[in-house]
Amino acid sequence: MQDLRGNIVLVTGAGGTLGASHAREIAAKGAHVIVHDLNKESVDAVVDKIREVGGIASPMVCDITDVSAVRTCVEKITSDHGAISILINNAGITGNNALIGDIDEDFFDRMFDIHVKGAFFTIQAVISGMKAAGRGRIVNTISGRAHSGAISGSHYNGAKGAIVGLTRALASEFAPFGITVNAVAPGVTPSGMTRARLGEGGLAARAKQLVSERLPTPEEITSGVMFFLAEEAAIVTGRILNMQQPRKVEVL
Amino acid sequence: MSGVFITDGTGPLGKALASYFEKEGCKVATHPSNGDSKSIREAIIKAGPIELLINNSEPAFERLSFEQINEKEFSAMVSSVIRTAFFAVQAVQPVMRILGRGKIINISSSAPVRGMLKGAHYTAAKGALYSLTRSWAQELAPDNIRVNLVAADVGLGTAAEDGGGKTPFGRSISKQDIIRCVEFLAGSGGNMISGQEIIVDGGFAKLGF
Repeated sequence: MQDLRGNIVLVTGAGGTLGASHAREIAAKGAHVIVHDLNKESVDAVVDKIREVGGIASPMVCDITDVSAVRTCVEKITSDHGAISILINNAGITGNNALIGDIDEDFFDRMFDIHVKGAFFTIQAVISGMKAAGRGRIVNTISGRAHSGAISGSHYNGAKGAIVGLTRALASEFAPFGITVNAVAPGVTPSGMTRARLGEGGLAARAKQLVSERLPTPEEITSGVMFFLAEEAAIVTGRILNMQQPRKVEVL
Repeated sequence: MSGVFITDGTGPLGKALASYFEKEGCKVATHPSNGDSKSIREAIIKAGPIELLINNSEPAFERLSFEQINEKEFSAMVSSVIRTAFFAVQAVQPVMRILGRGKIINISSSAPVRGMLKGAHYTAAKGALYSLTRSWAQELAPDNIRVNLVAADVGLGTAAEDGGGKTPFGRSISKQDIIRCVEFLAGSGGNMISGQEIIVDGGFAKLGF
């Protein structure tokens, strides 16, 4: 069985469905999980759940777009518990299927700040600890939409595409330090975020479009993250695991 | 092709593209890649009917290691590359819709495909253009607009951080190499091509990822 004991793992956006699933599974493998989100209640709920089953978890509540706040939090975690050895960049917001004409500057900026700036500077906050240890794992979260495109939400898809570039650039840069940088690209997965965007009916309609005719569970997406954390995956870097399921092709 | 709008029209590639399309008899307007949505919109409206938008951006940047890139440099890169392209497309969509056709070419780099040392902010920003191309191709197809990407690595391989080497063909990429590719996509050859990327790097990216 995978053994992550001795690792301190930061999962951003872990108050959400996918992040919480990652956090629970990583804690189940023995790691100390730092559960991050903007909202304290959602963080506490996940921390409590992990502790209830005997896992080790600590809260981190801050705005991921606030570079100095993230830095301060990471410094405190490092002095209290030790250096973060694994980072799961999961925090994100929905593009709400917006069309380009309807995306104002605020929505555009928020999208790139949370996804790209957030991931960029969270990595920057943890990297010195990983370099000093001579090992580390970073897993970013993109989206199948970064590859396939979509008829809407281009600001969301574009932000995810920026993380593809970031993943490959940093894989090259960090390889000499024993640090891998990879990404998972989920398709639509039932979560608080996708339910708000599509509704139950919309989710069911999405499932019908897939060759499998079902959506993945959050735990199935977590399995992709866990692969990159495996001891045996030390040489896997700069890669995107596309977990978007194939769609049925209907010729018009 | 009548009206052509090029962002970062004063960059070396932007200038070469502008002068190429001018020689072809097009009406060319340019704008700095300043990420300022208001000034971009005004310039696009002022330019009149635009049939071809080239989202070019050639941000000068210091080859800094990841830890050295600060918030200011990061935001300037996002603004120059992504914001400029995004709000240019937003402004040009109604123009092309009225015209009944249009083509958009996003100028990117092979860096998001091959990885890059000391340029994580540049690689991220240029990477966004790949996904934006695939999305806009779908979203704008009903308006008869094609959207493609040309990865233009003019002078690729000359910086020390890239190994100081050349492409597998023994020479670096010239502005002419890019213009030939843009010319193809902008012309009738590109009429049924959308959401695609052409990486003009002499085979360099395949050596990376």
